[in-house]
Amino acid sequence: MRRIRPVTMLAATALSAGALAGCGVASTTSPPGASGKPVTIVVASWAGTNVTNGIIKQQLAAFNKAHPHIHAVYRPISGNYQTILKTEFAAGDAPDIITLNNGGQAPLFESQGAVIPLNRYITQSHYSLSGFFSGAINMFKAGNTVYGLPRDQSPLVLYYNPAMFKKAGISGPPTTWAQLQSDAQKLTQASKKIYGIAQTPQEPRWAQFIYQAGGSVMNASMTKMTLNTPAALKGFSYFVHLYRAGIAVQPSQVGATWGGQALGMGHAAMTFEGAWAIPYLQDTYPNTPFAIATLPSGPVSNQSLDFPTAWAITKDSAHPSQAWQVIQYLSGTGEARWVEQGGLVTVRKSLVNMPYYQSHPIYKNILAQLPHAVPWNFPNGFSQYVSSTLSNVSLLAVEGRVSPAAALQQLQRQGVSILKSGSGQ
Amino acid sequence: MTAFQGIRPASKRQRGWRQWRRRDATTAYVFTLPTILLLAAFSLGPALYAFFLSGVSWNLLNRMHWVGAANYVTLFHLPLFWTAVKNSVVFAAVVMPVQTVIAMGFAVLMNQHLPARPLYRLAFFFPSISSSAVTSLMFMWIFNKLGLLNGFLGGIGIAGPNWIGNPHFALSAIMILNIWSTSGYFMVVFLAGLQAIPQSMYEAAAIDGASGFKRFLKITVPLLRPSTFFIVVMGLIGTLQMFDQSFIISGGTGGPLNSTLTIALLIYQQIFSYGQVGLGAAATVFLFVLVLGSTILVNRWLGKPIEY
Repeated sequence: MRRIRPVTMLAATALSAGALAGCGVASTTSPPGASGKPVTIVVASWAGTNVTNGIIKQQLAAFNKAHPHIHAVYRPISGNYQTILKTEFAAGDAPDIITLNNGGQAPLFESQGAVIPLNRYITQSHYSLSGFFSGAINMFKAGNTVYGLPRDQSPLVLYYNPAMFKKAGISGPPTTWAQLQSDAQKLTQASKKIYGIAQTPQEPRWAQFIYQAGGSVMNASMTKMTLNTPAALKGFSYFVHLYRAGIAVQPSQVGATWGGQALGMGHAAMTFEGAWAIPYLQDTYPNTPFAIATLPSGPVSNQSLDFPTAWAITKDSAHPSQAWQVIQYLSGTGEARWVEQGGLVTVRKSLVNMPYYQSHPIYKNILAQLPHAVPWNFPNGFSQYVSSTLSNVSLLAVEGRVSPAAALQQLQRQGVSILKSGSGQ
Repeated sequence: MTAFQGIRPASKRQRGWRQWRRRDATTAYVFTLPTILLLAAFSLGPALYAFFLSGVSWNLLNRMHWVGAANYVTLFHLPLFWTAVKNSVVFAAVVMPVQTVIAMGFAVLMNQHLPARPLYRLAFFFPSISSSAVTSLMFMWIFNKLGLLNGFLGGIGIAGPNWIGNPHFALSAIMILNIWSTSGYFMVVFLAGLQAIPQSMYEAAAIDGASGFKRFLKITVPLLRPSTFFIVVMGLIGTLQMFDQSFIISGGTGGPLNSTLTIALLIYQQIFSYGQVGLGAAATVFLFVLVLGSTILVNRWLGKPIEY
C-alpha cells in the first residue's frame, strides 16, 4: 500500500491480512555455499498493485533460473507495509530486501541503520548509477551514501475525461492555471454532482502548485522549511481557491475515496494522479474514457511531484552479497522486463524508448512530465507531519475555516519545530 | 484450604483430608497450567510489559532507553491526546446507554409471544456475529455521501450530510454503526436475564392491578440488574477501547480532522506509525486507569445484590 496515493485498498483487507502476514514463515537461510544448497533471499514489498502482485514474482523467477545458487522468494506484505516492517525489524527478522517508499519513509529506515549502505557493493561490481533518473536515485542517497537502487516512479499528471471536455466545447486539456480554472468552471455541473476537479486536499496533491509558482516545501537538502515564501502562498492560494469557487471538490463529496475513483465514476472531469491510476481506471471503470496530459503551467513552471521507490538491503540480511546480486538484477535486466510487463514508469533513462511505451501511448505524457518533477521526500522525524498534520491543515483551508496564509504559517511553524527538535524520533 | 491449620492438632483423618485437598489442588493447577501459561505469555505478560514500555524512549528500530515519567508529561501536554480522550469518552457516554436501552427494549419485545420470533432474534443478533471489518465497510457504503442513508433521507426531503467526510458527523456515524452491531448481543444477555425472573411475580402484580408498563418498571428493570451490570460494564469497556471501526472508516488516520481519533487508535498511531512506543504505552496505561476507574464506579452503582 503506497502512502502517496489514497487508500485504494480496503482497510479491511489491511486489518485481516495484516494479522496473517504477521504469521509469515521466517526466512530460514543456510550458510552461504554450504553443501551446495541455494541461499534463500526474501524480497518484500507492499501488496495490492499490479507491479507488486505479479511482476516482481515473475522477475524473481527469471532471476532464480539464471542463478542456481540463490533462491529469491517474494513476500508481499499486506496491510500497513511500514508498520509491519518495523515490527519485523524490532523482532530482528526483517526480509533480506525491502522496498523503500517515498514521502519520508526512506530517510527513516536509513537514519536508524535498518538498511545498509550499498557503496561497497557498487564499487566492487563496477555498478553504474548514471543510468538512473537523478531525482529517483538522489532520493535514496544521504550525502554520498547510497541506500537504495530505484525500482519505479511516477510523476503526478493530469487525468481528464475527453468526452466531458468535448461536450463542454473545450478542445483540449488545459495548459495554464488560467485555463485549468476556466475549464473546471465550464465542466462543473453541481446539480448533477459533476465537478471540474475532484481531488483529496492532501499534500502530495497540492505541493506541485507551490513548485509551479516558484516555491517549495523545503529546501533541497531538507534542512529548512520554505512554506513561508510569497511563491508558496501564491501556489497554495490558487489550489484552495479552486475548492472555494466550487469547481473542485473532495472525492468524498461525490461518494469516492480518491480522485481516480471520482473520475472513473464520472463525477469529475479532471484529477491529478500518477501512473498507478491507469490499470485501476482500465480495470474498474472500462466504460469511462480518460486521457492523460502534462500538468498545466503556473507562473513559473509546470513542475510535478515524483514518487520513486527503491530496493534496499536490510541490516538483518545474513547474505547481503547475494541480496546485492538480486537487486542488481532487479534494477538492471529486471527493470527492462518490468517495463515490458506494464509496471509504473521506469527509473532508467535509456528505457524510456522501450517498444512497450511506443505501443502504449497512454504513458507518453507521463514520460514527458518526468523531467519536470520533484521527488517527494521528507527527512526523518516527519512521519506524523506528513501523514496527518499537512492534510488536516490543508483541509481546514479548503473548507474555508482558516485562510491559506494562516494555514501555511501553521505548517511552516510546525515543520520548523520538528527540524529544531532534531528528528523527534 | 489451610485456614484451620494451627487451631488444633490435626487428627489422622484430617491430615488425610488435607493431603487429599492438596493433591486435588495440584491436579487442578496441572490441568489449568496450559491456559495459565498462555494467559501469562500472551495476555498478562504483554500487559505488564506495556507498563514498562511507558517509561522508555524507543521507536522500534533503535535501542530503547529509560526516560522515567517523561512520556506521561509529554502525553498530557499533547493536544491530540485530549482530543482522543474527548472522542472516546463522548463515544462511550452516548453508545453505552443507548445500546443498553435498545437491547433491553428489544429483549422485552422478543420475550413476548410474537409471531416469527426466531426470525427477529436472528435479525437482531446477526450484526454481533459479523466481522466488524465487514460491517464497517457496509456502513461506509451506507454513509457514503451518495449512499443508501442519504438516498433515503433525500426521499423524505432532507439533504443528508457527508457523513464520513464531515468532522461533525463522522463520529456519530461510527456511533450508529457500533450501536447497531452490539445491541443484538446484549439483547441475548438480557433475554437470558428475563428468563430468570419468576413468572409468579408478574402474576402477583397483575392481580394487584399493576399495568404492563408499571410491571416493566417495578419488576423487570430492577430484577434485571445483574444483567444490566454485566452489560454496562462490558459496554463501557468495549466503547472506551473502540479501535477497529474508527480505523477502517477513517483509513487509519482518525480523520477527518481527528474527529474519529479514539484513545486506542492514538495508541496504534503513536507506536506503529510515528515510532513513539513509550508515548503510546503511556496512553495505554492511561486507558487502563480510565477503564478500571469507570468499572469500579459502575460496580458501586449497579453491582449490589438484588434485595427483594
